[in-house]
Amino acid sequence: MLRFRVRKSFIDHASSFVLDVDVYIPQGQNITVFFGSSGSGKTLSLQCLAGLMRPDEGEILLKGRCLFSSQKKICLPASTRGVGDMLQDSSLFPPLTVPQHVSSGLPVLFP
Amino acid sequence: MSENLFSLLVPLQLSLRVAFLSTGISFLFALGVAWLLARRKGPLPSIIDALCTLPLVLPPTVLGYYLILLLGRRGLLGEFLTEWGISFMFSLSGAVVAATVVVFPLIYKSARAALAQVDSQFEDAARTLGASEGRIFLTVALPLAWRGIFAGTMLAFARGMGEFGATLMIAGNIPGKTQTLALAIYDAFQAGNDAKATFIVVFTSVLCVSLLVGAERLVSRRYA
Repeated sequence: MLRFRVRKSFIDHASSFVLDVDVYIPQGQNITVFFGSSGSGKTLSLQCLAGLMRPDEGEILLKGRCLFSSQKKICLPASTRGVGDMLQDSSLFPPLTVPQHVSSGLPVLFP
Repeated sequence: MSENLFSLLVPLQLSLRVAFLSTGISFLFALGVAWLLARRKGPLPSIIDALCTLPLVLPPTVLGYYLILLLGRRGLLGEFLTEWGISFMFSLSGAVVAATVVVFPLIYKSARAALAQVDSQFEDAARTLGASEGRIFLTVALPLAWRGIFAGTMLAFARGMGEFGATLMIAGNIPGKTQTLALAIYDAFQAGNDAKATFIVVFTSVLCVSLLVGAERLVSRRYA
């Protein structure tokens, strides 16, 4: 279950953009595709969901857990949300070697 | 010649101690401030940034004067410190404080630039993978920015070796106690001992140049 209602405005002297999203995805829905023209706010929405961007107002509930709520003044940090994010330029960490990258998840799998 | 070399050992040792301690102390503070400010914009970070850069552009005597106002026997903190038996005036610790302040912007500036250049996607990726801010700093940002930070630190060390103005004002020029290489040159020159002054000048120049060249080579070496 995902309840995602978010508003965030970006205004500077040259242009303005208002992200205004209201999505509800019921339980049992495993895969959801977000599509739209470039500049419509897909990445911004996902950043808000992952906790990399703080919305001006709204509410984000994931599986009954409140990740963000402007009313209740809740904004969980990205590290505690458990929301993964595959970045657009899927990034490797430059200082790590290939074996270090491959084995980086091992401590999580086999603590 | 051998007499010159011997008389150099004490100021050299004092210079090295001042440079090591001040660089070390500045490094910790500068790195912390740089990390806090690297990704922030706005009026307050700008003001803090300007304040942190100030020692770079102010005459060292002005810095020395501020430090005396702060740490002197009747200074803002000095009065309090004297009661505890701590005094920075005319002691090596005063020289360290002076050099720490002078050297701070060199590390701070290069560390902030290096940290700001790190692609924030790496930090965001680490964040969504559950890494704390401290862990992101140590395992993501630092390994990507260390070259710039290291270069700044080396510059700071060389600068700390040669600190003169602020040191003279707060720590004085006491042979064997607070007389560093830079002060020893001034002393020898004032006393008309040109041979000694020349000797220390050449020695200090060679030392600083080799330090910077060494640092440059370390930084420009590619990943193995």
